[in-house]
Amino acid sequence: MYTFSRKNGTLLTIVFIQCILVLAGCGFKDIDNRLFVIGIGVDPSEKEEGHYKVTLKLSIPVGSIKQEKKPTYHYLVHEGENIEEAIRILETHTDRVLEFGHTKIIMVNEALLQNNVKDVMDYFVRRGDMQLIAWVGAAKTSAEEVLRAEPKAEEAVSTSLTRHFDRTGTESPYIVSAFLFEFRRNSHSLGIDPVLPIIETNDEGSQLIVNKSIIVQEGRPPLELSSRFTREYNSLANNLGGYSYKIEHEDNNIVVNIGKNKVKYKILTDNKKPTAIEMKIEMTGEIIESDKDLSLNNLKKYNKLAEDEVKKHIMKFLTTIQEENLDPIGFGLKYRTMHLNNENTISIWNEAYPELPIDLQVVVNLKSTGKIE
Amino acid sequence: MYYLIFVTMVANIIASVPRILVIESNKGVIFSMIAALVVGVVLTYIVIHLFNKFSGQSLPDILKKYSSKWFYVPVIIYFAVSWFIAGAITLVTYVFLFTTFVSFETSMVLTTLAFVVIVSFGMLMKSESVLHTVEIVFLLLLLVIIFLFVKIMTDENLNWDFVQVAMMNIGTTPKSYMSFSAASYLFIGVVNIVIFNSFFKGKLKFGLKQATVIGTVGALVLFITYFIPIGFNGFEQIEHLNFPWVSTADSVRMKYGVIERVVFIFIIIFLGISFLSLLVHWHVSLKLLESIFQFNKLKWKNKNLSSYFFVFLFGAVSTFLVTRINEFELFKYASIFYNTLPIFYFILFLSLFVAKRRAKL
Repeated sequence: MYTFSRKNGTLLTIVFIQCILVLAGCGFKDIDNRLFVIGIGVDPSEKEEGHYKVTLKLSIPVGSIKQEKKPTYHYLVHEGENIEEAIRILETHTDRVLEFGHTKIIMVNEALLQNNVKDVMDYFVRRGDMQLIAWVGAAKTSAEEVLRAEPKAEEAVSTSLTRHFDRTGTESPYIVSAFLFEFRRNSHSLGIDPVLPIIETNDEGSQLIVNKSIIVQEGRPPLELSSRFTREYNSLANNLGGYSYKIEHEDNNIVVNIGKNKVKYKILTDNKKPTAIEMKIEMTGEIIESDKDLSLNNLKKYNKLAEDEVKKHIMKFLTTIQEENLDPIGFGLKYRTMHLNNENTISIWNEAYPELPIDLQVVVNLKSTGKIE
Repeated sequence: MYYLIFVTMVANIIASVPRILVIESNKGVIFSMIAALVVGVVLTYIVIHLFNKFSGQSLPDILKKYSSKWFYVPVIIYFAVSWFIAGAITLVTYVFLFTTFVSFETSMVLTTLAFVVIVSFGMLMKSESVLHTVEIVFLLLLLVIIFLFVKIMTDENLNWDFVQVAMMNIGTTPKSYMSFSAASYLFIGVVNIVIFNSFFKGKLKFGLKQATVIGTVGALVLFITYFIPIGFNGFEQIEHLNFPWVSTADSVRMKYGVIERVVFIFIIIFLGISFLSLLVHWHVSLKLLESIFQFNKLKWKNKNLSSYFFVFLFGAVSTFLVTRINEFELFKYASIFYNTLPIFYFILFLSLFVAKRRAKL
């Protein structure tokens, strides 16, 4: 070993100091040289067929949260032949580097969902810095409008648009949320179709409304689900509770609130051919509204009434998607898990699905009539 | 010893192994994986068993003692080169990954150099210190790794239906040798014993208990490596992902975590793991080379510089590799390397058998 002499020590110090001088040439750009993109919107171009209009929502960093009353955003819009080109041009519209690591939401215009889904998604998935846990949404009328909306209740350092989906704030069975990876997975897979939330804004852009959804399948017009169907979908696919049904009974209007629900389904088969979908739903809830006084003794009867009502609604939803030959819940996928895979599995299913009978069983358990009888 | 085996297993999750497995996903991967599991455990047993005969001696020692020069020089060079390539695959994969996901503005050469410089210090350590480093770092990271896997596997967006669909392919007749060799690469960790054997005094036990532990951990790691990315990304187009595991980690969100994106924790932790794997591989390679080449001319102040020369050579070659090859070529060469593993085992066993014969005579 070296003996650590004075000479060597001096030499080492000099080398270290020179190393420090080199350190500044690092390839990393500082935070003040970056602009954070929090949302991207893609619309069809207004001028040219097949081109895209890209909108970026940029968050302006604030010095102190306490001083800021409202968040400050900046928007960049440009049209280009493809998304990359538009974004490259947008980079020249600002003095700083666009940072996509914080992009939390991707808005796609409804009109693009029929033919351009894969085109649009490809770019976002391919970019390594883009999060796969960004939410994807279908923007009604235009993505630019939705991104430009600044709701009144919005606070500094929190974006309303994303808070609709992250289940920390509002939680509602009317809101469908889809991560980018989830959307990509379901749109590429056989036996399941992806569902996206529809995001609308009012005329002044002071409110965001998310309560509808849309089932997307490449190459065919997407099916828009009404708020009601969206709720049904969410309760079936994601076991989300927190909605109500109205029952009419002997001139009395009763509203039942469903708190929890549990869905089980299986595909019945006979000789490898699917014969029926058997679905069992268990719901727990309470009565939230009624025109007349209710008696706790009658809860059983109300259970029965609620069961019939729920069954009617869910059947309507299921038969609608069946008629449209769409499968947002993934029955086909379930079928595929039950059979050794070969090329025929999915075609047997596709043939059978539109005509498949659905055996639906609903069990409602009402726990109380609320604070009053 | 087990640390070496486990580090290699875990390190391969982000290397080319899952990529190869998912690419071959239509060709009977499940059967290949089961076969690889059995073969892996058996090979581990044989290797440990053979080395037990020569406890306290490393492979170069053994070969030098019991075989002639024309035999052991090419054998050791072959091993050294194999280990170097194994390390280089890890390094290049990680550099690609790093530039794609974390720091795309830094040049690749700079990233590689940063790795190489740190690993070089490690390579020049004593073998014993290397073992300690591996143990300490692995134990420190182990809890976080387990946390990450539990977090990923309990995520509500992980669709087990896809995993089941993938399992339903079990009936496919295995046609893919590539997936078998890649899966068995997970068990390569044991052959690091060729150098580290000199530190294991006394016989290493490898009975039913040890075999079960290695078998279970191996099965678990294989399961995680292959099926979890499918659960997140679907079965149909999983082969299009270049880094199946990083994309999987990116699909998990920690709602109330300090860092929302799990992928960053994942990348940092696996930085540590791949660093360990790289360190072990290159250290073994260096020791093997040292055992046959001692350049007498390279002396400076009574110190032989040949090890420094090799370290420099390793760094230079890998930097060259990083700048030269692209992801596709990396994948191609990695799978060729995995495919040659049987030759590797064959030569190892052959040389040990020869030595055993001679030793008894």
